[in-house]
Amino acid sequence: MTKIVKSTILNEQYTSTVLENGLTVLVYERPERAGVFGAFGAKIGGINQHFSVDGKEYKVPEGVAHFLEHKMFEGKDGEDAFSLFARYGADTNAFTGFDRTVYVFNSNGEVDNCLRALLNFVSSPYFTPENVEKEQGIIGQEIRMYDDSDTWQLLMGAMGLMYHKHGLRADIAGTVESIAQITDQTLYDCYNAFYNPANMVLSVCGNITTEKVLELCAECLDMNVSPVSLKVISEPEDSTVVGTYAEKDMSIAAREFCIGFKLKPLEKDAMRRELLTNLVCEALFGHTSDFYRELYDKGLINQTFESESEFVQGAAFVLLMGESEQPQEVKKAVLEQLANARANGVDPDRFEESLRNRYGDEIIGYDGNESIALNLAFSHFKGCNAYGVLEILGSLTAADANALLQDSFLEQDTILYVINPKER
Amino acid sequence: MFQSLLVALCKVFSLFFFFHMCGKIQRYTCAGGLLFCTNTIVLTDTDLNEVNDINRTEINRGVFLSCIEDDRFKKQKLFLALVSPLKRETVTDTALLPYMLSRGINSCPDMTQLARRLAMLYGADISRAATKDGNSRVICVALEAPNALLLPDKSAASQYVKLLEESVFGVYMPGGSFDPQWLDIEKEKLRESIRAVYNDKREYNLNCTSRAFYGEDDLRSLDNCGYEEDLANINSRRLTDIYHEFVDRARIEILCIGPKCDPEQFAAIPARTPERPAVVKPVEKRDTPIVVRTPDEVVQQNLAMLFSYGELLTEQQKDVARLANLMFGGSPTSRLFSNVREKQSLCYYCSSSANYTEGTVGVVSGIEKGNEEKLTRAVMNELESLQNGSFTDKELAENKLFLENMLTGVNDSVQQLGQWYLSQLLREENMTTPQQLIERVNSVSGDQVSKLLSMLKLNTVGFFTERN
Repeated sequence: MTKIVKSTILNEQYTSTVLENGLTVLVYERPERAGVFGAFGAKIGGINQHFSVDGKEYKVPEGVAHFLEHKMFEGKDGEDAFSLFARYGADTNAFTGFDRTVYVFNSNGEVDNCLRALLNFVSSPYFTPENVEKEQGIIGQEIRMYDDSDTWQLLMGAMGLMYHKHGLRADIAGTVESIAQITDQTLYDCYNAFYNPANMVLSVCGNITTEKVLELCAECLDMNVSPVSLKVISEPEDSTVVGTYAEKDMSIAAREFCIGFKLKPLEKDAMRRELLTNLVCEALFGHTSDFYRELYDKGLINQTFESESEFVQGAAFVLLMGESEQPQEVKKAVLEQLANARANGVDPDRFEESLRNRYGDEIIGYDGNESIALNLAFSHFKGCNAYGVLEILGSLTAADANALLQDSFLEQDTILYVINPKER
Repeated sequence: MFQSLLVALCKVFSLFFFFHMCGKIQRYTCAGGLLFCTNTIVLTDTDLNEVNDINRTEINRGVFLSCIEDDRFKKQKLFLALVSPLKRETVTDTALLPYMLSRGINSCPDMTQLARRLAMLYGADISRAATKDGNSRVICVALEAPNALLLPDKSAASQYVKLLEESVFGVYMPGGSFDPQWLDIEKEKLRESIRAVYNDKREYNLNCTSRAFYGEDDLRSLDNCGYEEDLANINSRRLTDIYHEFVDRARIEILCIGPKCDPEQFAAIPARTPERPAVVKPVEKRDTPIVVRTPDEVVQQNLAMLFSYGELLTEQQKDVARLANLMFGGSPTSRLFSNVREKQSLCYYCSSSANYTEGTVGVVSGIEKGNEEKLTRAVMNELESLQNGSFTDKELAENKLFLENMLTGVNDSVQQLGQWYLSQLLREENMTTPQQLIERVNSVSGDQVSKLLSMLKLNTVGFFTERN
């Protein structure tokens, strides 16, 4: 049955349908646009290395979700997915994150064929010892590229300092050693576990109707797939951090830092708490804050200073990253700012500004087919309605922010990871 | 600024590029041919029936306004670009100007106040960047904001234009010149940006290779962010004078995308007689390519190969070059992607891009130690194969279709419309709509591709390699 999800704020809607095989299909119809963006995602990412299916337990090497994503592009007849889409002039790609893998296409013509191609190639795994070995070479090159990426090293360094056992410790791409252990059977095991339709979502946005999308799903997908009992196994993660400081040297121009806060994993009200966490960061450390201005003018931070957050199953964190010759001083100032906000409350004006900023960002997010389709898919993975953010924003206050600060962003949950420039 | 992190690794790396510009580091999602330069024709009345009409009007001498009125979008974007000749003696000063323009405007004489005002306008964002384009120096101030028609506060729209104009012409200068204290702070920020180019090894290698390619004396070899050694000589008086000279003499291109815009709002921008940048010269062909080696401590080496057609291309040749580049390394079905990466597994990324204005092509690739010769040979083999006409009709047709698909999508995106038309406006080229380009490229034949590519010759190769 198809449900209609409406936004009174945007005066727009999308449809949500769960197919017989368990796949959720979300369609955002936009007849006024020329193109269509499609995203077919599975809830598997870099953190998934231990799981059970129908009671049978599996432990797989680091980097397997990303490896699987690469291999899905190769078809049984030797034709890769790029060639398939090339026939229709369309563009395809895929990405793997900590907890999700998404295959996408962007098309402005032959949309039906493109959607068929997406559904078919993601539903047709073909792994052999030979094609697995070939991919190890390409991914090995990709891993070496990340070895030279300062931002990637900063992120992975911070994960290592924060997490004892959680899958976030593992590099999404794995290591040259870990991917060497991947076999065609490993890939089939992961595919059968995580690419079951009930663990997936299809979201489509643009000049296409819900009826057409459902018709193509019926044509291309097996509706008789049985659900599997998939259980993602997470080792119990200690609430403490592994260490508070670490550093490494790289060939970079300026010292870079990452201040990380290990947060409690989200359970109830996940979207509300995630949103509030981001708003608190914006109000305390964003461009509108006195904190930002003071550190900027003192030369402790520059325009690269930014914050990121991530909320995945069993873990959540916030990172403040940038360049600074004195990362310890930045950390000290951050902790002082937090202590001050805890004692005196978040400035209501700054909170209002961060609310409005986010409101505008949300509206802008509904401009492009790509951002809409991905937003729909990601919200589904989080178990939320895509319009939820706009609705929740109207209900948040500075008092909520103050309450959040009482048990989040604590000093004992803080780490500092630094990359020092090597002598040139 | 504070968004949930999307940490993800992509199957095709080349779809995401990081461009480092003075004043901002911005991420662009690039879509195939849209990465590259465009050429344009003057729109006729019949062209105005297309989905997005654009009409460029000289509202005052040297000041041009182009509007694309489209109510479909949830956001609106305004660009105000100043175009002047690129000069070695002022390249660092002009790189510094975007930093100083961000410090405050007359109605908001402080960067934090300005940030707060923009936030209250539902996250309106003003970006400022200095770039170089051929022999031109471009300072572009852009305002991106939610479509004011969708906001609870409908008065936002009128404030957007005022803020944009003030960000260029109403810069806060206590006592008539830039605040010396702020200048010292921003000089340090620029110094950090100049050094930060080294962090991106691909860009760094490309810069080193480009200098040899163009020649040290060519303006195109200048570093976009300027030079550390110039910073000591920049003081408030000097920079204020350079600011006035630049703002008063530059050609101005304004581009508005979104709800209806009123030309009267820009009427106060004074007339000027802009100085024209010199026409770019073609890069010479070489019998023996220059080889540039940059040893450093890196895990993965990288390669840059720069080619030249040896002459400036005609309008028709540019259309052919566009298709040729897609076939060579500019699309997911290109030779470099499908053969060098996928079939030969020689690298994770390998792609080409072209500059149609100056008639050049660049290839960048990751490279495994010991594979330098194998990879460069593989790239040359693909080029030679295309030069010999060894490609199928299917290959030609698929790349035309790929370009058509990409260009059809331009009208769906404020971002892409902005990139598409602004690059044409900055070069004062004849305006081309995406549909017109599709039609022209679709008429290109395989013979034209191989004939044009036969003119392309490798000029410079740059290796960023392990130190030992």
